[in-house]
Amino acid sequence: MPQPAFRGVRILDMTHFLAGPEVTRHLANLGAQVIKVESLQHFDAARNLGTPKGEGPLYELSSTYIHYNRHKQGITLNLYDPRGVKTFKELARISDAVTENFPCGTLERLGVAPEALWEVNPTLVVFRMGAFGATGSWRTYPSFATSLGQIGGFWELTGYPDDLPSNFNFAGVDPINGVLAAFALAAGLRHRQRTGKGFVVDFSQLEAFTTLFGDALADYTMNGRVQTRQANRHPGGALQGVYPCQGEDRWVAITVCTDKEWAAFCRVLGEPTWCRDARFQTQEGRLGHHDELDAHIASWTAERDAWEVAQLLQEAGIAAGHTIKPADILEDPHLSQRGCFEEIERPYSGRRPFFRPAIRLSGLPRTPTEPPPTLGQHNHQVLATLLGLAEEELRSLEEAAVIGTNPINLRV
Amino acid sequence: MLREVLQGLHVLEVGRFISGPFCARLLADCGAQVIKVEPPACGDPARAMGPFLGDKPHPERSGLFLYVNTNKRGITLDLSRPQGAALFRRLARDADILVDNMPAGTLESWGLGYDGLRRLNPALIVVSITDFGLSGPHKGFKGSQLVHAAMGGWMSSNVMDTRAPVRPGGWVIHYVAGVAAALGAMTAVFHRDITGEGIVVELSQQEVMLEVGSAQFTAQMHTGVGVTRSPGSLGFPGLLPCRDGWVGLNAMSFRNWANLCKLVGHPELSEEPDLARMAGRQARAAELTAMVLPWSESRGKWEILMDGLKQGATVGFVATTEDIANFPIHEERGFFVEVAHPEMGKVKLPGPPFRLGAGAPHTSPTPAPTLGQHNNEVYQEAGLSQEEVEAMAQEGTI
Repeated sequence: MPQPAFRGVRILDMTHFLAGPEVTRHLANLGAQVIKVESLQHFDAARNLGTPKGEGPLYELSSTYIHYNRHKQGITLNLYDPRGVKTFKELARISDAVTENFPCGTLERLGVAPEALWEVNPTLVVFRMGAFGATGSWRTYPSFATSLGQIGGFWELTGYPDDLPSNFNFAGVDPINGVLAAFALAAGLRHRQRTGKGFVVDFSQLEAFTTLFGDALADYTMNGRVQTRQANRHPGGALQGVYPCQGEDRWVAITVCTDKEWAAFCRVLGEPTWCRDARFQTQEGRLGHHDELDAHIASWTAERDAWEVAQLLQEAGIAAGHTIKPADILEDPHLSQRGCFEEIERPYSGRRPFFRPAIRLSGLPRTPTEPPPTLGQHNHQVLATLLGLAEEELRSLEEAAVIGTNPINLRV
Repeated sequence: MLREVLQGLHVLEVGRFISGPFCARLLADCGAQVIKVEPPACGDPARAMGPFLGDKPHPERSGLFLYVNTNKRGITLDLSRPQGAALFRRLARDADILVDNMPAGTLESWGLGYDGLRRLNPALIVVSITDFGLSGPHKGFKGSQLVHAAMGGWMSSNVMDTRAPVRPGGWVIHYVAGVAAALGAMTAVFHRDITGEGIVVELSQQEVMLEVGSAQFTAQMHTGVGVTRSPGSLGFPGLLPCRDGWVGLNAMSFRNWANLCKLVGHPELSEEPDLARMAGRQARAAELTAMVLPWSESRGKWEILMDGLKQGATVGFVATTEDIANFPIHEERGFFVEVAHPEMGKVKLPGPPFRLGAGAPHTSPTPAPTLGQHNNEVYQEAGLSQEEVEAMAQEGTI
């Protein structure tokens, strides 16, 4: 549900796949007008992900594309055609920012490099979020979330110490970097607003992600220590663990930090004899005998429901929670009561619930989220209303496949 | 240029540990003047959390505290005492942004609720980060890294489905909440520039986690199948051993797959139609892995990464902090900055997450404040006399 903090801001959005569209999704939700640019020749490759099996325009049914493009307007423009470039520049002239996540060199090849855009709009923010930054010898190299998670340190630090590195199946690095990049773009927009200057926001996905490991890096630069993964434990406190519960793949996560919490924990469990084991009465003892402790706890949780265990422990003042699956969250009373869901109706995919963005701005009105655009849905609206293109001009652009709504050479 | 973005704005941080402090640090990176308020005796609990210089626990030697508190001034103030609360109101009157990540209701219990502070200063922007939000039946629940990884939905997509799910490495979960809060703060500043109104930005850390992973939820609601746990990533395409570590031979788009096949010396694989899609590759994973293993095992991780990058194959390797600290591209772009701390000496840390201006150099940050380092300076700026400051110190308020 968008809130109009960035009302009046117009973003011409060339980003594609996940990381870039996630950035402009945040800004759209915060009230900016986002015009997403695809082309009939190359639509957003995210449209190939998360599609159902079957016939018809599957590129309109990609849950991945749908997820990352809510509340944007969508146009097509063939930037390999001079008329497409001309139209793009006319839109750039009346926009506040152009956003892109190509490897460096792509804008330059298309004739819409920052310098070319500043010729038509000297106050434009050009937001560049290639994998490795807008300068340096890696700037033209492409990359994806998986590789960035590996070279960004995430994998080395995630998982069991006696096993391979682990990771997550939700495209982790992209939506994480998406929040950082949205902050960077918001900072750029504020600076432009105050100074009237145009500039490049240089967002290296690798650098940005690395800033989330500053403390581990400090351990290396200060102490020469190379940290590795430690599963769910932490040298700072015990006990910490994720324990099996009734049902398939159901778990409860528990963190006990202080001796007081340990005493409360034992009371919830009904003070079994093992709880009185002298070795478990101090932080150091619990840390030193964590495996043994885990076995006792797991035997208690295994016979119980994860959510019930979490509630019992929370009532006793202990941090505990069950592992929530996507299918569970609509039923969660807390999230429902806080209005975390919104239904959005869209052609092709119908009416579906979505998880509402986390940032809440008190006092600002909330408006319904517009559905993600179908390919070229807003061609006429944007080009006629904002640029004043006449009906016959639009038709001629359509005939030349500079704009349109039916993809050409559909790739698998 | 980055330091000009929020120049002249005053941020008051009652932050502890990571999310609140990192939010305020990002604002400080953008030039805001941040005053960090800590409880007098022990300070921010991050001071008690490692890594410590030389592994000796010491409140002025935590690398974590240093990293998330650069470019700030620090004061101590006991907000639970009426004199402390009164002084805090005075500081809040002159502030533009308040960042608070204490448990829900803490400030309120000291008579420092958001509504009251905003009556004193209607233009004040309040950024509130709590574990589960300021309303709802779980408002009082306690969070932790593990609890947020579980209730924030991330663990349900954790690979290696034969073992208990794990949290993401490092303190990513808390950093991300801080970043989301910084985005909320910047948004509120933009709005205030135009309208003059301050607003309360409310963030539940659980909801930040859920939103970041919510593509899973969207998929579930559209296809009936959400992203689930899966076996690990071992195999081709995926993770393979190389001479000096683990290399990620990853493929996303088709062009990418073709480039990857060429890289590993099997260009013919990209012509097999059943391998054009991920599912087909997974079905023949064992065969493909056996084909590629001799190639990966005879090469080093840097050689594979650089060859891959040059050929448009998006490979990676499992990098350690040692690797990252020595990445040539970081050196080339001057990503790391050096901070000189009175207790810790010079420490090399990652710079800000972005630059204004292509390749714009980072400015060296000032070190995190020692406990109460700026008491005299800040309180005298707020109009207290030297004697008043000393009296407050005497009675333990600061």
